[in-house]
Parts: sequence; C-alpha cells; structure tokens
Amino acid sequence: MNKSAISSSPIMSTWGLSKTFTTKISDGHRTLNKTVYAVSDVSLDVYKGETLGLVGESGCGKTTLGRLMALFYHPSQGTLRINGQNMKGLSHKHLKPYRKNVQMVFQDPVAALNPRHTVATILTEPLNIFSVGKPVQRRKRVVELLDAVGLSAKDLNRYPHEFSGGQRQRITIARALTLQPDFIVADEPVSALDVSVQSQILNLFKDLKQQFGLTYLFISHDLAVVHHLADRVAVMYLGRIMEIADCDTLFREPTHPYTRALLASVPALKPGKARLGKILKGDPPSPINPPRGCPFNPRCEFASDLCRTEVAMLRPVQTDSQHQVACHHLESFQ
Amino acid sequence: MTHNSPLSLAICRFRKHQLAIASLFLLLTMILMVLFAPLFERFLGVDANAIDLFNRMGQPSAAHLLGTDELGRDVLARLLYGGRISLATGLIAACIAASIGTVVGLFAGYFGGKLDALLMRFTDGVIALPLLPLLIVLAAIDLVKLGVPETIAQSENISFYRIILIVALVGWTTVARLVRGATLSFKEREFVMAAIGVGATHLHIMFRHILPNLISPVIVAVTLSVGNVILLESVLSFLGLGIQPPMPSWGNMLTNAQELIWQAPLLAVFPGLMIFITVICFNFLGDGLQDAFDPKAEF
Repeated sequence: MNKSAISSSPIMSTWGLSKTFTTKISDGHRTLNKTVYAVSDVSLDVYKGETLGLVGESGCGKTTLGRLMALFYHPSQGTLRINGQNMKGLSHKHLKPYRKNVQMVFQDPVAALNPRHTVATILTEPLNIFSVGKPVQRRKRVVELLDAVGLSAKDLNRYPHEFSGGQRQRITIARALTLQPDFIVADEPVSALDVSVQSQILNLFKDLKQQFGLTYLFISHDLAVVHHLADRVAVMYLGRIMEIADCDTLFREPTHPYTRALLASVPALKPGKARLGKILKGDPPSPINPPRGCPFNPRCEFASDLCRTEVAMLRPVQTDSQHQVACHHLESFQ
Repeated sequence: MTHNSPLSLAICRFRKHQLAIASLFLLLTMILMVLFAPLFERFLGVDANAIDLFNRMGQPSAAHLLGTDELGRDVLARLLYGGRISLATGLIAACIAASIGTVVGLFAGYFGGKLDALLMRFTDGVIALPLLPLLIVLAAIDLVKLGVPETIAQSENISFYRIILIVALVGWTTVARLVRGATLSFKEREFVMAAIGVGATHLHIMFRHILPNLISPVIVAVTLSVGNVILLESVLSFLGLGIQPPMPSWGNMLTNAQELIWQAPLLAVFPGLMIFITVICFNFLGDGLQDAFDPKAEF
C-alpha cells in the first residue's frame, strides 16, 4: 500500500457526530415513539488518499455512519466537514455542489440500479444533472468509465437485469466515479457477491484508487476484506467507535476487549491455534435501549463500576499514537 | 428500445396470453371500424341520421344489415357512430383519471407526512361520495349559469365533454391509491438514494425514477377502468343524463330501445351486445397485461 500518498489534511472530518431515528414500538397495548441511537458521538478524520476500513457487527451503525458521510442523512448532533467546509443545516438543494466530492457504492447492486434504465441512462444521469460537458463528451466519458471498471461500450444499451451481480456492482462503481469524486463511501460493496467475484471487485477498488487518487471509507463486516484493503481500521460497536488504528497494528495488537473478541470470532485455519480473546456470547444490546456507560460493558469480562456508569472516550494508547482506544482499562491491557 | 428491454420482455409474455391477444385484436378491429364509420356508411349506402318513418323498426335486410330503429335509421351505422362516442369516452376519461391519480399518488407517496395525509383524506372523501346521485346532479348543472359561453354550452358535443370530465373527476381515486402504495415502496429502494446522491431533484426522482417503474400497474388499471367507464357512460345515458340525442352512443341507443323492447327486441340486443363485448375484452386485456407485467416474472 502506498502510504506516502496519504496526505495529512482530512478530506472528511466529523466531530461529535450523532444520528438518532424515531421508531414506533408496540408493546401490545399501545404504540410508543422510541429513539434509536444509531450513531453516537463519532469524531473521525478521513485523510486524503487513505482507505479507512469500518468494521462491526450488523446493526452497529456502520451503514448509518457511511450514509451520514455520504450526505444522505442530516446529523442529529455534531458537525461534518468536507474539505473543511461545515455541512450543518444545508438543504437538499444546497448540498448539491458537495455531492460531486462524495459518492457512495451500495451493498446490493440489484436494488441500487433502476431496472427501467439502461446502463447509458444510469451513467449519463449524474453528468446531465450537473451539466458536465456536451452530450458527445458525456458519452465519451461514460465509455471511458465503463472501460475503467472492466465493461465495454457494447454494454451501454443493456439493462441491469442482463448483468451478473459482479458486473452490476461494476456499473454502480462506474456511476460513483462519473462526477470525479475525491471520496467514496463503499457500504459492504462485496458482501452480496459470490466469493469468486469478491476478490475481482476488491482488486478493482484498489486499481481505481491508484488510477483516480480516491479516498475510501470501506464498510464491511468481513475482517479479511478490510485487512486486505484498508490503511486504517475503525471498529464500531453500538454506534460508537471503540478502537481505531493502522490496519497492521489493529490486527497485530488489538487492544479493546471488543476488538479482541471480534478478531477471535474469525474461524482459525489451524485448529488449536492460540486465540487473542474469548468468543463473544449473546447479542449486542438494542440501540433503542443502549446500556449506561460503555456500550460494551454487559458483554465485557473486564467491566467495572466505572464502565457501567461512564462512557469511555477514545484516547491514544501512547502519547501521539495513532492507535486510539475507547476503554477505561486501557492501561491494564498493555 | 432494444430487444431485451423490460418492455419487450413483457410483450413476449403477453403474446402467450391467448384470450388477451384475441381481445386486443377484437378491440383494435372495433376501433378501426368506428374510426372509419363514414367510409362504412358510404359503402353500405346508409346514413346514421337519415330518418325514414316508412321503415321503422325494420328487420335486418340487405339494405340495413342490422335493421332500422324506431325512426327508421340504420342500426349498424348508428352502432358505429355510437361506438365512437362510447369508446372515446372510455379511453379519454380513463386516461385523464389515471393522469390525475398518478400525480396525486406520486406526490402523496413521495413526500409523505402532512401532504400525504391531506391528499389521501381528500381521496377517501371522493371515494365516499355517493356516485350516482352526484353524477346526476353534475350532469344536470346548467353550464350557461356557470358562465360558459352559450355557443359552447349549447353545442352538440357538450354532453360528450361533460361526461368525460365527470367520470375523470370521480374516477382517479383507484389509481391514486395504487400509485401511492407503489411509490412508498419504490422510494425506499437504493436506486432512489443513488439518484439523490448524484444531486437529482425531487421532481426528477419522482418522474424519471419512480414513475417508469409504475407504468405497468397504471396501464393495467387504465385498461380495467375503460370497461367501467363505458358501463358508467351507458348507465348515465340510460338515465337520460349522458350523451344527448341525436348524437348516438351505445348507452342512449339502449335507452331508446327500452320502450320498444317487446316490438323490436333486437334494438336493445345490438348495443347491449356491443357494451358487453367491449367491457369483457377490456377486462381480458387488463388481465393479460397484468400477467405480462407481473414483477415476479420481471427478470
């Protein structure tokens, strides 16, 4: 991985970012409005040129954080800056110019492509909306993009249902590239694909990053995929970042009890090989009713009274270290 | 359109539906015949409006293939001209109603919230109106008093326009509910989110992304409602509130025939049969289209 290409200026920067949703819950007698805490107090910088992996269990708020960063949701609290520009309070209309910078690749390429549109329509749409160039130039650009993602001009007049899953994901990737964005949020882009196709698409992500100088937020629950692709990895649990570190550091010396448990849950190729932590029992608590204190305390073997009352903030493992962990008992693990 | 667009795939499936194909063929023949009614008139040497009191209620003969009515007019020629009115009323009113319903449903489903509540309660209100008394009142309104110029209000075609307007104003509710429901599900799909992500406006998403996916259920609904509109037109004409003579429609031909049902039963049979065949054909056609557009058979 080309580490030197990573700049020190954040392309995307969040501070205290939170997102809550209201949902209706019926307890059998009446319906109540409940608040779901999808993302809580996330402060994160994504630097130009890097691939930031975001891992966590289902329902931990990975997708919500990705969609916040891709400007699909308005934050409930906190700020989100793109190239230093605060997005707070911008309406649908005023967000439009920033959408050129940030694009998203979705998990399910079947749902992400309109079944009534041809590939040509799908790929020229962003260019038409932003009035980029003349129609001839737009078509030329679309053919270039198809070529870049491994499809060809003869696919232009075909419909999404004529393509395989991997090819459809190539189309959505091409669409995300049409406006020449700097930053791409990839929300589990390979988890809906066959294993044999996954690596092709992952390599495509790598190639495109080189070719177009992209920055990725790569969301996945598959640790192997993240290990393969990411420069830095953030671990999320119940809406909060629990640990963030260089990819190598995180996989070599995971520190937070949750990260250890997560890595331990990957089936080992060699049976009997020593594990770093214990395998987790039970399910994560509901984001409708998050536990007081550290969100991980009900499942954590090291939980103390402090963990049950106060949320742990992210802090560096050593001074000035890029490796940050949100745990009250950080020192006792070293 | 390429050979493998969603539309051409639907056409392929439609072709297998024999009853619907036969209905489509019959309806197209009917439409062609009524369009070229003046040609048929000349070819047969008859005139739809020529009164011949010496030849009232004539039996079918070489000169009048389907006989003559109570004023000695040729029944076949009147059926053709009546078909023009009945089919045009059905098709135009159903299309206008579907357009109103589509727009109402799209806005209600897409924006949701208060607008949705407002539009849908309005729709419920229209559905809850007792249709027939309302139609009778609407049909009885004196247009001159409403400020419509007398030349238009007195013109021959006014009863035709009036009935289209009345049917369209009360007939859009089914499509509105259908479109609203489908819009609710489509707006959550990721391709809509992807469109937002490339800066599409709400109108662009509604009309370029969601509407093309709704076209098939709307076409089915329109087809099925054409039959209903034709029936409604004949009911109103039968009550004397629809198409006004001397302009013939299948409905008012039935009305004229009712007093003579014992002397000349055929006068009631022919327009009744035409209405019956047309409505049944539109229903078969609708069923066939429904199967062809079935989303489960989409890919």
